[in-house]
Amino acid sequence: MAWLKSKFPCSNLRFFLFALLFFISTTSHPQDLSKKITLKLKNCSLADVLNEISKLGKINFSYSPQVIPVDKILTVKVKDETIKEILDDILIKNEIDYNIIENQVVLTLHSDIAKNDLLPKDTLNNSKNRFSLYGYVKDRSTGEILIGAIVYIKETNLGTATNSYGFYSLTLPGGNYEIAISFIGYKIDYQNIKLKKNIQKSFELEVLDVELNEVNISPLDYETNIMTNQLSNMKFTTRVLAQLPGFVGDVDIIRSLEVVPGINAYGDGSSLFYVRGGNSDQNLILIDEAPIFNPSHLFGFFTVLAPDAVKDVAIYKGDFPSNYGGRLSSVIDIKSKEGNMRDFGFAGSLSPFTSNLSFEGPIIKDKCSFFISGRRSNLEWLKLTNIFSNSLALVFYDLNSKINYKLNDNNRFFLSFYTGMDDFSRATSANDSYGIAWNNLVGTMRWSHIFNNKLFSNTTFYSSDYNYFLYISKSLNDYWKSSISNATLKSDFIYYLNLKNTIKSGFEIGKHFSNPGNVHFSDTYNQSHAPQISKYYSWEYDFYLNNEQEITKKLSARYGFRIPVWQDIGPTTIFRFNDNYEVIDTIHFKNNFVYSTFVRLEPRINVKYSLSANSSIKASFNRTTQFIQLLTNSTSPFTSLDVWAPSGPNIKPQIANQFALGYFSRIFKTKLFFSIETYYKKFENAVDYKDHANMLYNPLIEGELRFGKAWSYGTELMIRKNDGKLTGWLGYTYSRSFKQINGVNNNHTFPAFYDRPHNVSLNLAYYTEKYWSFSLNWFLISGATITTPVGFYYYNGGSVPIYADKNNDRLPLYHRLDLSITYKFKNPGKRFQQNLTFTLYNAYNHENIISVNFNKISKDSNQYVVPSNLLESNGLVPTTISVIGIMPSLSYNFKF
Amino acid sequence: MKKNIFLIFFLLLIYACEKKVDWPLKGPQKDLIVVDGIIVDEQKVQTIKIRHSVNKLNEIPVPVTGAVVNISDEDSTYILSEYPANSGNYNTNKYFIAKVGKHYSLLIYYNNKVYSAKTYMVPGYQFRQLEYTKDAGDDNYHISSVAYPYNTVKPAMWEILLDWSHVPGYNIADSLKNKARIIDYSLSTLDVNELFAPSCESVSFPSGTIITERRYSLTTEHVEFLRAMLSETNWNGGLFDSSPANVPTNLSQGAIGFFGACSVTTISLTVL
Repeated sequence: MAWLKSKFPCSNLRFFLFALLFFISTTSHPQDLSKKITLKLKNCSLADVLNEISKLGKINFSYSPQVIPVDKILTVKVKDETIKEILDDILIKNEIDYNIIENQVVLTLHSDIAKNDLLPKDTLNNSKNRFSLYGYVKDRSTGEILIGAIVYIKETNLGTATNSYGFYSLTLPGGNYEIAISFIGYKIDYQNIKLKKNIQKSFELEVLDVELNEVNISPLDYETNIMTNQLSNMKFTTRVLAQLPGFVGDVDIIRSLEVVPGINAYGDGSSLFYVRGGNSDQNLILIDEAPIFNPSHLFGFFTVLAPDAVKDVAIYKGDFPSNYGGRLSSVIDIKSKEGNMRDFGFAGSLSPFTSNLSFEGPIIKDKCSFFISGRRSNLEWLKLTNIFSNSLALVFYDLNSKINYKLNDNNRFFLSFYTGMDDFSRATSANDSYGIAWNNLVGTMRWSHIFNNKLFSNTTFYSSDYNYFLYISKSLNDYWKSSISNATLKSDFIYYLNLKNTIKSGFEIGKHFSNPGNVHFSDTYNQSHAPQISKYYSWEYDFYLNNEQEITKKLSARYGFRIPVWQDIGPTTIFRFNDNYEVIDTIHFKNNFVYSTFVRLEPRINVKYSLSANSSIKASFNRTTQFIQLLTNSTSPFTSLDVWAPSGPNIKPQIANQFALGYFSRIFKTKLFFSIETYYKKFENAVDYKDHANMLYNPLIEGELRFGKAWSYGTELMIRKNDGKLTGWLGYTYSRSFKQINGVNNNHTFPAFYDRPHNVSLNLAYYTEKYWSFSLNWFLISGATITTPVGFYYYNGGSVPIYADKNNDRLPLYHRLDLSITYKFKNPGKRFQQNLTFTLYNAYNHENIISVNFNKISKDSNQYVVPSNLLESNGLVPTTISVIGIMPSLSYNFKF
Repeated sequence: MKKNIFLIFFLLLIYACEKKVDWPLKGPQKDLIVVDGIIVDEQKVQTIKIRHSVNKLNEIPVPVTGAVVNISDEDSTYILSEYPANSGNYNTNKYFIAKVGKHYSLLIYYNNKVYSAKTYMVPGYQFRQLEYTKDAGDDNYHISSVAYPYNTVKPAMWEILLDWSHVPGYNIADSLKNKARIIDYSLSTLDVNELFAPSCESVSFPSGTIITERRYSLTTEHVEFLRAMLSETNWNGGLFDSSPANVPTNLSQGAIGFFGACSVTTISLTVL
């Protein structure tokens, strides 16, 4: 210990390091206090004594050196005594309790002292003597806040989780408490707190090092879903994301959602996903609180945000907290990294398809940091120019940056920015090209403020802008363009009334704009003859209030509401339709004239009953309203020419009511967590389309829509293991989704095309102690519904299909295995880390069909084309299309 | 075609795989009366084809025989007779010329049911002839451009008849193999599945081929029918399909197909 003392004169730090080293070296040993040992130590510190017992008895101690008097000098002389006898002697004499928790002998101060040394007994339950412990939970190495970390009070069996901004607050009677702070992928931190006044304290957690075979001994992580009221959600931390096999080398945030029970991804190569019977435009994807309207790159083969930039992803499939609104089916809340407050660092990766590079560091140490990351496609090696003779450009990129400034303990500022772009163009001459392009531009400014020990606020201004271009001639600047954008100011307040009540409230004011698609011609004649499609302007106001209350020790509830108000304003032109969807009136509204207003009340209720420390049941009801919708009758798995339109005189707001019931449990005393959730969801004003709706560049697009109801129900089961060398989960979902739309399918009920009753997903990750880690995903999903012909007829030389019921048929079963193997290069003692990752997408090359066609003929070498020569009697053949067979990829990743 | 380039790229990039399969049709079989008839402002025998629908791909349709068919305008009624017998082809008995600006009604009496349709003829226009270019690998040609596919003011259907049966070296073979009939369209709408339509069969023809290019004028209703039909045929089977649905019709009583009246403008040219 001498070297330790010399290097770290501060005793607290020294003992912390001692405890840390001790902890690291012995965590895997079983605890056997019946073992007999011999000890002969004279004038040694308690720490040295514990160290010696640990060595001889091969047991592990866990304690806070700030609480336990480890400097106390002892003399111990025992021969062939059990460890229990020795501990009883030396610890109890020194008023130290010990308990065996998992594989640890956890030391705490004697409980009588802990409870009585500060305040008289009669004041313990006196509300006048309650104090708050509040602050942030952070990553020790980077200083970044941790979202969803648990702060748990052992004495009360109560705890709280840090909010989306890493903040927590607990109000307790004065006294001494042992607090456990834990977070998945981090070492649990035990702290003893003497609470005799309000204390602002930030805790810092250290990342678990799986290579050192560290495991998190806390049972709390497994119980997170049991303890909290939240239903229907799942979190992807960076650690979970890192263990998912990526697509061609990249971990893809949006595509990774397909492993979550209750979420049906469209399939290979698609970024579209459907949650609990909702359409794909009913998913709210937030990057640092700002919405992203199209998260795809390369039509969906990749999605936005480089994985290096992502810090945390929270997925809500239902039971939406009141602070979320605007979409019916899910919220994907992505928080980007804030930047290391203490050290500079960089990271990157190189794969055949993309290159990533990120850079972070302090601008002012422990006060201001930055993070910047970029990703660009690497498709040039395909040598597309040679293949297609004319130059073909396919490029996409992401740029993400964030600045995090801590003004003082009570005020923090964040500025984040994201932009991404896709550009696919083909040269038609030396100076001209045509093609398609889209871009997202998102910015967020945020101010987090602690008013006092009980009141926390977060004020955000964000804007999001999404544009889609179909270029006819780039040199002439002739194009079709659709857009959607918004700018919103919002404030959220969290009031920690007491340990049993947390009140959240907030408001939002936002302005929305959408252009459902107009053309721009450089030629004035063409421009003057082009149809003009009305653009839309709207205001949105939201207010929410809810309370999370512990009613009894076992019963808790979260109840509240959200009130969204939507107003459409001029200038615009609105068409009125009769019952046959014929235009009967055209109304022009002038600037800022409010021509339609919707006010909705969204109750949000949730109840949790704890059956035991390891199991709970929860129920929830919530209503959500959606005021903007993506108008498309495409059945394609890929995004294309997006057109968004708001609710208004012709489009009523869509509403969803969802009931959910869940049971959450730890399986006996294992590290396995089990959950089952069942839900029923009903949609009002569900949008569908008339047969062969004309959705592109149509001034009367609202007349192409049809409305009705939809409903879905299902049960989701999951077994999950969060900790240890082998982690992952197995999920199974049974779900159904139906629609009944006036004017579609003869008004009869039909299954939605994302109705896929069975869904099995398996995710496993295994870390070896040294160089290797392995992960896999496996999916088995019912095929999507499709509409296939029941007959044909001939017209003008061609064969035309005849249909009966909508979605009368189903694609074959979808299944796929993805594998990933990572080799980590050893570089002991160095910050520079590097690894090679080999991924195999669709490892057994299963052809997952996305469509069936009946209109093609076979040509040379099994090419199938639509016949042109109508004089030839070529036999048509049914064909199926599948995308992405086996796709190997090797990527090099590095981090400093 | 430009629009197919992106599809080709995708096929390459993502290993998209299209395969022939056996896919049994599901659902109740239907027996529907199908009307395929366009009358034009040309002096010739006008034909209305009436068939039954089929329940299998490539099945030969059964003709509707013994029907009583007539076409009437504001002034006259023209009786159509079935010729050849039992063919389901109903022809005007005399040289009949439909006229621009007139409304026409089709009436079919068959199996104690009356099927009817109404149509109208809009004027035709002169047009610029199509463009053709030489194939990359041989001395033949292919059509590179017919007309701009988007035209809000003057939508049209184009029938292109190619005949190289008289060209030396080709005139000894089966004459049908030395002819081709291609249909193209300029519609007043734009669709995603049109922009990303699947590849079409390429038709090659030699120098000396006679090309007859016929432009058919279209009413709004006819455009809607053709757009829906294309959505289910030529534009279907790509990666950006729209939701399938039955093609609309202007026939009554459950009959399907379309009865149209078109003004035809014709250009002939020889490939040199």
